[in-house]
Amino acid sequence: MTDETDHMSRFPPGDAVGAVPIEATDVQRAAGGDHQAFERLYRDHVGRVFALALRMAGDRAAEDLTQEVFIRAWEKLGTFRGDAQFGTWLHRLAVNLILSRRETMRKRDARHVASEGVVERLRAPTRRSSGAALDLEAAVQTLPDGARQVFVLYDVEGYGHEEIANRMGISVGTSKSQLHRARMLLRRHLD
Amino acid sequence: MTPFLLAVALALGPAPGDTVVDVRRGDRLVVENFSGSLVVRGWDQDRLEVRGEPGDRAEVALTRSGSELTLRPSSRRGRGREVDAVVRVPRWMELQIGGREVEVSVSQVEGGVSVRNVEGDIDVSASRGPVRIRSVDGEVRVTDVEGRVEARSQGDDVTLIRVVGDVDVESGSGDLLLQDVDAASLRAETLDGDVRFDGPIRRSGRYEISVHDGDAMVAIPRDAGLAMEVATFDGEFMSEFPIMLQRYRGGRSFSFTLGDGSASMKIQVFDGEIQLRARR
Amino acid sequence: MSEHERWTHRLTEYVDGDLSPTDREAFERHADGCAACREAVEEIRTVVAAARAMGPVEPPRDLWPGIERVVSRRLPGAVERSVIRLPTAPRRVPEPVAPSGRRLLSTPQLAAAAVLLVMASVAGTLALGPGLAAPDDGVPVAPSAVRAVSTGDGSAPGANPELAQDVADLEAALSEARDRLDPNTVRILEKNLAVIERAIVESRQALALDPENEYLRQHLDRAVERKRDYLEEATSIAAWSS
Repeated sequence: MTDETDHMSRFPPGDAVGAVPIEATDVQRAAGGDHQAFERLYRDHVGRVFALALRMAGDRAAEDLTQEVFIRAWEKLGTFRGDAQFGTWLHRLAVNLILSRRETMRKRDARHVASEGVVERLRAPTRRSSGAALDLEAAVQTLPDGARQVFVLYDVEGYGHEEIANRMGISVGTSKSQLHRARMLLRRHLD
Repeated sequence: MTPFLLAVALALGPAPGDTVVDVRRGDRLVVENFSGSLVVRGWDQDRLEVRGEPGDRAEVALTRSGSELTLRPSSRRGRGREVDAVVRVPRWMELQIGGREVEVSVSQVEGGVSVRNVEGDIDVSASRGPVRIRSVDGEVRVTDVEGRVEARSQGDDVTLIRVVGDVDVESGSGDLLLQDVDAASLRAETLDGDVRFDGPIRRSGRYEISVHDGDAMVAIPRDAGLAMEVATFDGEFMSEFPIMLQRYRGGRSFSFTLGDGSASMKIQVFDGEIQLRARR
Repeated sequence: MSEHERWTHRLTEYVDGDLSPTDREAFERHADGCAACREAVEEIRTVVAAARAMGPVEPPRDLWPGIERVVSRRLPGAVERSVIRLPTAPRRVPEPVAPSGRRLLSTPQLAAAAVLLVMASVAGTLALGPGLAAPDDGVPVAPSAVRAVSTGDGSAPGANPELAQDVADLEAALSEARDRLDPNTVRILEKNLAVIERAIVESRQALALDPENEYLRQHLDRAVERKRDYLEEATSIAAWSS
């Protein structure tokens, strides 16, 4: 079942993104069919959703996934009951959707040899991060799928191993060892 | 009739590997054991053209037996190798395509298409049906098609956009997206995924949607006349329409009528949400 | 495994504070004399800190137009809807009392409530009486409880012995063909079969809880039929793709 609200209580609390009162109004407006309100929500949250998609699924899939997340959010606005931050709700939805698309993405990646340099694309974003963070961004892309996803969920997003294991259909032990693997690989990329 | 070999070799670059043969109305094309990517486009000529993509080294053979033309990897060099080929066919030509790991894209044909594979996406567009697709693990997309569409993927999504004709779609663990689908008879069934249907409702039409684990989102015109039957084991039902429950059928099943109730719709979701909305 | 190697596998646990106090002390004793371990711990801490600092990334192009195209054609999952909350799972105990003290309705009561003329305003919640709104805080049987019911192997159909025979025959045929199939195809077939199996098991468990439910019976039969169809397809693939 894909109803994120059912799982809400089990998730770690997410960051509050944006000003709450304004958001509440925009969410209500969007739920009433107001595209402009939804666009404002999109602008406020796209950076975080795109970053998640990029880190979890890679450069090639990130744009499609981001669009899919917002379309799904639009469709599911009715299940957002306002008992969590919109950003948190959206983030859960994004994680669920990205994980559920892993299989498809893997297949696609296997069929297309990466043609564009990841680093090139990463330098394009308007909001630039520090040099070290940029390096890590590129380095994350070089990790094997499983290690990368566990690393992003645990170290970047703050999920616990149980939650990750549950979401990804792996054991807690595997989650821990993937995390270790990811960190050991990444430390080489840091100055 | 003794099969005769029309051509072998798509081994060279753009032009020299091309093969063109004249065909007659009633001829059909069978593609067998294909591996790689296959693009088929209809054109207004009674000729069939097979073109290899530049750089391909594999070989395929085109043979004729009666009214059937068969394209398959040549036994010497083609087997098990991936081929990227573009085939132009007369619009009227019936197509039957099969392969294990093959991406298929078909468009602008009107003689009926049947595609079957294990892996690889299948895309049929701007064509007239019947269209019949069976994939074990490939994503299926059918857009701008008139005629009956039967599509199934066990492991991936099936998407139908702007289809006019009867529809029968199934997935094992993928979503079924039916956008602007105009069908008098529709069946959509997935075990693990969502079904989204957005389309007009025909008078006396029959619509059946079944989901095991996932949501069913149905958008129908505000003035639709429908006898609805809804059943779920563990889920909820949301309706944007004001409704009057007519019959509570025990368990979590019930029925109600919208408008004149001339068409019938059955939505069954074992574990998930059922949403009934008005089309925009 | 040397003392050092023993610890290199546990550096992440150390950094995350997952080691037992004893192991922790033991590691720290080792690290006192092991520059490599100390350095690795520092590097891991740097990675962790850098990861936590990873912020939003704006997409390289504006993705909104693509979203808007879809959004402008579809209705949002808006508040303007009516909701009928159905009991979330069968209850065998008559008239259970919800923790809130509200009583859930039994099936005859539901039936009575359901024949009421219920008109919902477009923005309103369709009220079917307190009973139907109860599952929010009522006493639904949790899915985990449903799954705890034992149901045998999950492959035999509910009512139809012929179908069971078909399924058994096909399973045999497929297992024979298995060796001729490409390993990747086998993996895909098995993955998809597992989805069907799970649906069968869940349907069977649901039916065990609510044996009179006609929908569940049909749902289970259909799931088993799908398994047969799928096995049929799989065996035919074995014939043409090998």
